[in-house]
This record gives sequence, C-alpha cells and structure tokens, in this order.
Amino acid sequence: MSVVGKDIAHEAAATHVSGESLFLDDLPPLHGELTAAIVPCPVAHGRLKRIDVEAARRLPGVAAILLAADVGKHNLFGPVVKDEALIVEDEAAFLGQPLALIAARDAASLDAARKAIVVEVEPLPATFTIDEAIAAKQFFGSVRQMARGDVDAGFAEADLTLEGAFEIGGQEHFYLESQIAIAVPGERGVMTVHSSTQHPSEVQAMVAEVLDVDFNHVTCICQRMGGGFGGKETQAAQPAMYAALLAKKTNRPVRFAYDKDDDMRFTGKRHPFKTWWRAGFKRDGRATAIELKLFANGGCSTDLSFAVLERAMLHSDNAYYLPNARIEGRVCKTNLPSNTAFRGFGGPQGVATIENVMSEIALALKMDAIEVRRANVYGVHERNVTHYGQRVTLPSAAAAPRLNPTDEAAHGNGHADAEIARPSLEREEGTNERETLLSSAPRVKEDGERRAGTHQANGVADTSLPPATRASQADKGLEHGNPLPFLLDTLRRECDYDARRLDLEAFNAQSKTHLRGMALSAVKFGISFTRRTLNQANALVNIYTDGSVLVTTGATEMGQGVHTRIRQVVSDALGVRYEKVRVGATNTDKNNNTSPTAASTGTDLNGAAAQDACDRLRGRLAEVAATMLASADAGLTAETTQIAFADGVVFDRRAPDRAIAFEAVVARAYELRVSLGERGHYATPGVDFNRDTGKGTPFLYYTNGVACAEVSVDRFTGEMTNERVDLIMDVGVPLNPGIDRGQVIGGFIQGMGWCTTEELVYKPDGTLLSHSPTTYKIPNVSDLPRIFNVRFLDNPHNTVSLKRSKAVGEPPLLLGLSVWLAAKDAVSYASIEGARGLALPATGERLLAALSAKPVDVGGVGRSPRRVRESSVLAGGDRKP
Amino acid sequence: MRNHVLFYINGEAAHVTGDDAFLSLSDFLRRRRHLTGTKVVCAEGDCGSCSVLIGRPGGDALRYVAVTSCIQRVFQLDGAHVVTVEGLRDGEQLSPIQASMTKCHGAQCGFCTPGFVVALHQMAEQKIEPTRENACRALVGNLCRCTGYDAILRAATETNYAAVTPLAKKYNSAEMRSELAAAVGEDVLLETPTHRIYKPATLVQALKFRAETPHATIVAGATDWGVLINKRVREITSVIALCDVRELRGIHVDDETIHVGATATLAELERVSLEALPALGEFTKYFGSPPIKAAATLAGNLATGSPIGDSLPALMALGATITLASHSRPNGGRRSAPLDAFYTGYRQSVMRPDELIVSIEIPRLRDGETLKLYKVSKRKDLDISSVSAAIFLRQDGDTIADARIALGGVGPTVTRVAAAEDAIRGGGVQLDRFERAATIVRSTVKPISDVRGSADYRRALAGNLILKCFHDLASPEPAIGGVR
Repeated sequence: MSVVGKDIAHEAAATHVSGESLFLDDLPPLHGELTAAIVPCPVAHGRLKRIDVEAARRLPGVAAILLAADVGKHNLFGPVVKDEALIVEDEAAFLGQPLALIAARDAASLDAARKAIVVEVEPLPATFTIDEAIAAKQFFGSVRQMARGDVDAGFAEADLTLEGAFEIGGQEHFYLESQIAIAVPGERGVMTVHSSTQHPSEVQAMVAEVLDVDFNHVTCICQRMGGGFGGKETQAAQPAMYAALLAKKTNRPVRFAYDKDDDMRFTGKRHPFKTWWRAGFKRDGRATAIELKLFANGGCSTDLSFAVLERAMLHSDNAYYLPNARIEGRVCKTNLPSNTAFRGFGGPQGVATIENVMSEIALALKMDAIEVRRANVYGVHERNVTHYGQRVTLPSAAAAPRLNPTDEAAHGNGHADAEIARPSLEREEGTNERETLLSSAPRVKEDGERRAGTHQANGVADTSLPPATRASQADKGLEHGNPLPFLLDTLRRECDYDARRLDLEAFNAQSKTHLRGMALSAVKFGISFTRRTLNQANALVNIYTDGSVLVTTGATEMGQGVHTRIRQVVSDALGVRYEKVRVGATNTDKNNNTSPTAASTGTDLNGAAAQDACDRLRGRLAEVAATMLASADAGLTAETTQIAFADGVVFDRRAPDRAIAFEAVVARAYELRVSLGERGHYATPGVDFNRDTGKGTPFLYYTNGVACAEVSVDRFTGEMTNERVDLIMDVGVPLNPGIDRGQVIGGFIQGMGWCTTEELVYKPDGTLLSHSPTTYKIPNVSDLPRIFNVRFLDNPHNTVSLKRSKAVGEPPLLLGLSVWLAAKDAVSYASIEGARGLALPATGERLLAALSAKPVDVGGVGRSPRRVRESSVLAGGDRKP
Repeated sequence: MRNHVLFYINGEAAHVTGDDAFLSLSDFLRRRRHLTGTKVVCAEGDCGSCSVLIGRPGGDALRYVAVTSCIQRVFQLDGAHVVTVEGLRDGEQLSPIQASMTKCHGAQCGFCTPGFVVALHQMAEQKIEPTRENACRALVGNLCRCTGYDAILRAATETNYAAVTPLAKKYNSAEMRSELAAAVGEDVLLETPTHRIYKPATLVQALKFRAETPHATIVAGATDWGVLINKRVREITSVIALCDVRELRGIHVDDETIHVGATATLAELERVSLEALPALGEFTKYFGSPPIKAAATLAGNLATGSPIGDSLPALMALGATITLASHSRPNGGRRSAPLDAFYTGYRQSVMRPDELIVSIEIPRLRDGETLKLYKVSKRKDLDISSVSAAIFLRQDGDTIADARIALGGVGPTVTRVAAAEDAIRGGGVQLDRFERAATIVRSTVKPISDVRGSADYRRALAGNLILKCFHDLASPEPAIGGVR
C-alpha cells in the first residue's frame, strides 16, 4: 500500500510527546566538556579602546578566552560577503557583537569571567532605522531594478494616481530552541560540530574556514531543530564557530547555547522594510502603472539581504498582473544584528507592499477591495506573465517531457544526465504498477482524480480525466497552472463574503464600541531558490542485509516533517514497509555540498534526490528478483521490466501471487555482490534568473492560496479580535495532508503574528526591549480565529514536482496578511486617513491611533462612506441559501 | 528542624541538600536527573515548555496542578510530588493524551510539546470538560511557534479522557502520601555558605524569622522572584518561604467579604470569586496563565506592588484591605491597611520590615454595586497590561452614589483618581459625566513610555476606558463573536 499521500504522523511525534526526543542541549555533557559564552559589546556602534582579559583568564574554572587576534585571518565571515567580524577587532557594528569568547567549566565561572573582563568602548553615532540609513546614505550594494512595460505611459493612461509610504516591521523568529552548537575536537585537526542548523554544509564550511582547515576535516551533524523558520539558515554558524574555536583552543568539547533573551537580542530577524509606492489605475480598479521603491533594513552586514530583497521584488506583484511596473530595491546598512532569512524570505514584505496598494486603490475608489483584487489578478490565458518575465502558468510543452519519467528512468536502468536529474517524480509510473497492484491487494482508492494515471503537463487536456472533471478544471485554470482567479471567486462564494460585507456594514453603522473589517487576499509564492546553484540536492540510501533502509539527505528536520515525507517517498519507491525505513540525522559526512533547508524546497529537492537513489537501487534489485522469480513451471522468464515492489514484497506482475520478501531479494543481491547503497542527485530543471536584466524564470512553479479574514476592533482600546478566517491552499497533491495542514495553519498564524502583535521595540541606543516572551508577543492559542476553515484545493496538475505535490513551508505565512488587511478595512470605517497610514504590524496602539486620525464619534451616529457598490454586491450575489 | 528538601519525582523520593536545593526545578530535573523532556525556553514562566505537574497533599489523594518549573526553586517543592512528561506514559504505551497529540499532528518541532502534554494532563486531572473553549483556556500558558495551535486543540478535544489514568491512581503509594504529608508539617532550614532558606510550618515561626532577618526575601509562589533570579536581576541570599505555613492557606468567604489567605493562589482566587464575585472571577481568567496562577499568590501580586500588577486596580476599587501581622506586637498582633493607602511609591509600601501579609479582605458586591474591570495588553492572554482600569459604582436608584476609579500602568503606583470619581458621583450614568471623568483622567495620569506602549497611548487608553465603561453600562452590546 502506498504511503505517499497518507496522513501519517510526524515520524518523531511519539518521542516528542513522551519527552524522549533529544535536542542538542538534552545531550549529557561529554567528558571534560566546557560551556561557552560571548562577551557582548555594550553599544551598537563603537570603537574598542581596550579589552583586558588577564584577570579573567586567571580565574579558576576559566579554560580559555579568545580575542579577535586569536582568530587570525578568518575573523571576517559571511555566507555571501565576508563583511562581519566574528569577534570585534576595532569597530563594533552592533550591540551584542562578541568582544571575546570564553570557555569555562560551568555557568558560574563564565559569569565570574565576564565580570572580570575590563572593556572600554567609545560610542560612535549609530543608525537603526531605514530613514536614518537613507539620510546617512548607508547601503549595501547598489540599487536593484526590475521593470516591465512603459510606466510613464501607464500613469498617463490612469484615471487616478496615488502614492504613499508603507512601513513593515521586522519579526523575531522565536524558534523555541535557541541557537546552540557543540564542538568536539578530534585528532589531526578534525572537528565534529553538532549544530541546530538548517544548513549543515555552511556550518561545516564556515567552521573549517575559521579553523583554517580543509572542509574534509569538519563534520556537521544536525538531528533536529526545535524550530528554525530561517533563523538557523546562516546564523547557526556563529555559535558553531564560537564553540569550534574554543574547542580547538582547549582541545576539549565545548557547548555554546544562547539563552532566549540573548538569542533575541543578538541574532538577526526578519528584515523591516519601508516602501514608497505610486500607483496609477482606472476607475474599475485596474492598475495601469506601479512604481515601487523597496528599502530593506539589512542590519550590520550583508548576510542574505540581497537575496531577501530580490525575493521581495520578485513578489511585489503577488497575485496581480502589473502591465507597467518599475520596482527598485536597496539594502540599508544599520547597527542592528544582521537581519536574515525568515520564512517567506522577503516574499511577505513584497506581497504586503502590493496588497497594501490594492487596498489603497480600493479606499480611493470607495470600492470593496475584493473587486480591485479581482480586477488585477493574473489571468489564465492572458495577463499571465510576471514583471520578471515568467509565466504564472505551467512550464511550456517543451520543458514538460523532460520532467516526466521515462520507463528507463523509472526502472533505474538509465542514469540521470549531467544537466538534469530525472527521478521518477510522478506518483504513478507509465507502467502503472500501482494500478496492477490494485487487482492483487485490496486497497482503498482514495481519490479518483489523483489516482487516475499520468497527467500531461503540456497544456493539452488530460484525457485520462473524466470529461466532466476536465471541463470544470479548464474553467478553474488549474491545468494551466494558474488557479488564482478561481481561488478568489471560490473563496468569495464559500465564505459568503458579500452577505457578510452587508452585515458588517450594518454592524459598523450601529455599534458604538466596535468596528469590523474584512479582507480577502491571495498569495502566489515562487518555489525554488533564486540562486540557481542551490536548486540541487543529494541523498544517500543504504539498504542493509536485513532489508532495513537508512536514508540521509541534506534536508534538516525542524518540525516541518521533511523526514517523514522523505521516509514516505522512499518507502513507496522501494516498496518496503514504512517501518523499515529510517531517516538519519543530517550529516555532512554522508551528504556533501548540500543546500540549506529553506525556500520551502526541502522535500522537493531532497525527496527527489532520494527518489533518484531508490529508482536505481530498485533497478538493480529488479534484476536480482527477476532471476529469483523466473520459473519454468509458471512459464516466467526473468524479465526485469515486469518486476514490481510493494508492501515489502517483490513480484512479477504476470504472476503476482508468487511474491518474495524484499529481505530475500536483498540477501540474494548481497550474495551476488550487487551494491546495496546508492546516492541520488536532483537538480531543478529550467530555473534561471538574470540579476542584471531582472528577467528570467527563477521559479519551477508557484504555490497559491487565498484567505479571507474578518476582525473586530475595539474603538476605545484598539484591541483586535480575529473573528473568522477561511482559507484555501493550493499545495498540489499533498504528500502528507496532515503535515501539510500543520504547515498551512502554523504558517498562517505566524504570519498573523507578524502583522498584529509581534513588535520589535528598541531603546534609542539600540537595546532591544522586546527580548523575551514577556515583552514580545507571538500568537497565543486564544488568538486563533474564532471560526477557522482551512481546506486544500484539489489540484493534480503540478507534474513538475515530486509526486504532483507543491512546497508548503512558506506560502501560507503570507496569507496572514489578510488579518492586517481586515484591520485596515475596519479602521477605514472610522477614518480613511487612519487606514491609509496604517503600518505593519497593526498593534493595538497603532490601531487606536489610526481610529483617532479623524475624531472618532463614540456616540456611534457617524457613518463611514458606503464602501461596496451595489453593482458589485449584485454581481457577486452567489449567496448561499 | 529538617535540613534537606524532601519531595518525589515520578514516584521516586528525592532528598536534596546544599546548592542543589536552590536550583530551578527545571535545571534540577534536566541536569541532576537527566529528565530532559522538560524544556527550558524563556526561563520566565511565559512559554510553558517547562511545565510539570505538582501534586500536594490535600484530602486522601494528592491534587495535581501544572506549574512552570523554570521559576520554581527546588526548595519550594518540599512535600510535593513532581510528575514530569516522562512520568505520564502508561508503562510502555503513550497516554491517551500523548497518543492523541501524535495522531492529530499536535507536535511539529517537538520543543513545546512536553509542556502541552503536561497542560492537557492537568485538564484531565481537573476533569475539565474538553470543549474547544475550555481547552483554549487551559492552554493559554503554552506557546507554540510551529503548529498554529489548531492541531493541538483538536488533540485536546478528541482525546478519550475516560481512558486517561489519574495520577493519584498511577502513583498510588501510601508511603509517598504519608511521607509528603508529614513533610509539609515540618520546619526546614537549609544553609550553604552563600544561601539560606527557611521554610516555617507555622505563622509564629514565620513571624519570628521575619523579625530576626528583615532583609530576607519573602516568597510563596515565587513566580516574580524566580524570574528575577533567572535573569540575574537578584541573587539568592536569605529567603523565607511561606508556602507551607498552615495559617496562611485557603480562601474563606462570608456574606460580606472574601478572606484570601496569604498563600492562596490566583487559581484559587479565580475559582472562588467566579462564585462570590463574578466580575473579579471573570477578570482573573486573563491574569497570567494557568501554570502561573497555580503557583502565584494574590498576596505576592499585592506585595510586589507593581503598577501593572493585574489584581491591584480591581482590589483597590473594591476597597480591599490587607491584614498584616508582626512578631513584635502582642499575640502576633495584626493591623489592617487599606489597599488604596498601601503604596507609597514605585514598589514601595507601608509594610514594615517585621511584618508579613496574612490575608487580604475583599468586600463582595452588594445590591446596586457594579464593578467594571479592564486590562489592555498587546496580546489578550498571558500578557502584562499596558493600562488597566477598575471602576466601582454604587448606584442609588438612577444616581451614582459612590464611584471609585483605580488605574494601573499610568504612574509609579496603581492609583485612584479622586477628581474623576467626583465627576461621576452624584449623577446618573450620563455620557457627559463620563466624558468629564475621562478628560480628568487624561490630564491627571503620568504614564511613561516603555515596551508596552507610549505615554500618549496610555493616556488615551486611560481616558477611553472610562468611556468604554460608560457604554458598557449604558448599552451593553452582545459579545462581538458569533459570526453568523
């Protein structure tokens, strides 16, 4: 029985709930292990005049203190540009930058050492905000541009033009497990680093560089993280480097763990943005020209800021066709810890920018914003090319055949060519082995459409589908790869948007104490790393002589369930029972040169690589099994192409009753000296992007979704209540619906937090005041919408990805914006001015200020402008009975 | 006088002496017992990841509540049975709650999961009906960053609680019960070269020690002090732990008054006042979180005297009094201090260095009396207020015969605003009177700007809450929820 597509529990769930899962700080100390800490710089920008560590060095229990001079030539580090000092040499760039590293036998000795270190830092003028950085002309890199059409002509054509500035706040990752690494020195310069990281290969490389050894001397291992969300993509490296340097110096194991306060104070966050926008549009709401200037607050060093900015620019269209667009972007340099990857990676800021513009257009036209969104949404057959030149529809017919498995690849006799790996990404192979299985083993057929056989990706109607389904799917635009208009219309109808809008207006007219607001927004999120090189993965699949299977890939497990999904894929690919497959810790000894588990691609890339390895293993085993199953009595010759693997047995399709155990085939293969290990590789085909021209096809496909949020806002306090959310997500055919649902809801709520209660508050000197859960408020269970309807779009057309699935990690986060847009809508009933100026997040304080932007009539007799045109209500009058 | 801490962990006795008695319970469990299922995230009680169940003698079986182990010190556990997540399994099998969490995808990264499992087991222990709403209330003390909670709520509501083994049955040891019951009645004194803890069993002993060591820190639930220790704001030196002083326990209600013992927890106050003073009971739901309220005391909330303490405005508006006792006065002589004259400055009070709070007297509402309570915070639950307000009115027919307005978060202490009270007093529930009161409030209060809001925001809020109160009194609207 196939396990792909099944609602299987997270593979570590049982030990998570029993408390037995081991996170790094749960490992007992190794013999002689030291604990480590930094000496944080007390000012955000300053010149280090003096640091005296001699007294501290002499304290009992202190094993080592390292200064910049001890690090040597590799003190500067960075994942892209080496522009951040691991330990301050002379000029400190942010508050908390290490002035020294300490290793000691226990926490008390660390404290004593810190107190004994004499530090003198001369404060220098510091820059924290985007406005300050722009004024001081402090930037990283040059202005980035993307453009399409004739923007000036677009503005000339417009009936109305609007402009404004929009502030978007940062966000603390608040992974529950703070950054941690344990470095264990070995002989001859070898270092093993256990790290809570999304990117073991980068930790390996950075540790090797700072230790000045070849990469092959450093192993990085990650069993799991207690959450990552992007915060452990590049910035897990610093704790690993601290621990490794101290381990090398002392030749003892060293553990470095931030506590939550220091982690929040000293590590990077989601980039705050400020965007200046100008929009020209027709009276029907259609945008004719969009001009955006995006500024990202990069913090003190480059980190991933260029890529974050790029993704923001690539998502500044979101679901909307911008015929004439000019988008500029710039990264600002400030004295904050370097801002970094965070789920969505610039996408949320780009999408927030354009969604805000859509709402502003609606406010200006006194239209319901849903009409403006519908008027601008990407089309299926036209208006379907992004400002960077990629079609939002599925890849052309020319690309599709290469992505479909051939019999050869499916059965492992062929090998991937040099450029494009060809694992059998399809759930059903051309020979339809599973359908054959149906006849021999009773099985619940769960979804006719999904199971109906191979679909074509080339835009030709899928003849395997029943005619009725075909017709309805053509209407949905699904088979062309753009379900956005269909999703908007469907959710509008399903959530009873128009009737509720009338109710809401009546409520707002009468209530003296509360205002309601509602917004329906979409997301179109591009899947692939925008840096082409990263779109590759490798996997190692070992079959042991007892028939058990161990798979390792570059994918790191942070709760998202990538190991579960890979286990499902491998289980199906080898036809072995799920219990027989184990996914091992991510380990650079086993999988080299891996990409970060990021950009939502963990399963897409690593699952495909594992599939590739399994395909070839199965090919070899099929040859062995064919011989074993050949039988003169049954009239069967050894025919490799007829061999099938399922449910732990291997059989010849022509005589399925004569199945032999997988273990027996494995044992025989071992006797015959057939290799039982395989390394798979996958490289995403066809993605590319030219930074200079701002054009290309950076994404393999898009994951889409829509959400409608309704909120109420207290007119006296600005407190917001999330009344209802309806959400439809297009994740193709989910590999694991339960896990995907968890990603959708978890992402949505995390996005909602960014938009509402999560506010980073600093003192004027740059000290972060919101540095723990007491002061930084992520959503609580009681912040869930009172009514919360979540479902998947049934979309079997994504043939370019593993098993027709779609990546799900980041996209749902962007739907959290619907809550912010609903708050903006609510405010507009009291004050259009207040709504126009609303920043993100919409905290209670901001909402109250916005409500008061024009005198709030608490007597309740005031009336906001009527916002829904009668015609639009009637047009959408598809009301439920 | 016992010189070690005696408690049980997952059914096994623990005798702790020396420095280990001053460790946080979470560190003790993780580092000394290698029970690493208990996770530490914030070390300030605000995420629930370190939750454990604590059973204390009461009746014929131990009664278990969840607390955050990061802000409990080992010595506070004297006489208790600690059950960690590792102790919740049914032998080799997952408990029905654990199984449900697994099946419903209630765990993603797994770091917060043990805390949620503990919180759900507390629901089972307290036989809370597992509706979504109740589960939500029971889980507000636990933060999760991965799941968005929906799956956890589903697990909470789909568990077959009838199949959950009660802890009293799972750990049914008469020896443990009697040993713990005996321990509660004993004085404990523990000294190391740097730390000293005294845990008296009687008020006489407590007052004596208090008089002898006026600088000793007084703790009961220690939910505030525990944070200060963890964050290195304070150091442990000399401590007097009142948790087991028998005269200070419990809440007693008579026709006029709720008498709250100094070690009665906010959870007890919530339970009792839901019956005896529903306005306060409903409001108490939004204090802290269940694991905090299971440890924190009302007396502690009042004694720390924070201007953003949740209970202060309500009790001040109600006219509560604090009963203080001292060894130096005859018979442990008591005196009564009205709460609105208790505070003399930021976290300063009239309490003398030899005094202890023994109880708090809260007048119940009589006919014609109304109490409106407001707490505005960035997040609805498990947050500290930006501004809080309590408005007490006594109406005589249509006339407001008496009014008390107490505000928190707008100055160094929680404070009454007499001029605003005067504006309301003597008239009906009229908008112009409340508007005048709001104006007076706005011009009277002296808030500061901090992480929880700007001074302007707080000033606006303080006035608006008076207006909100008017609307709540004049035309109470139905709850906002219930989208059709």
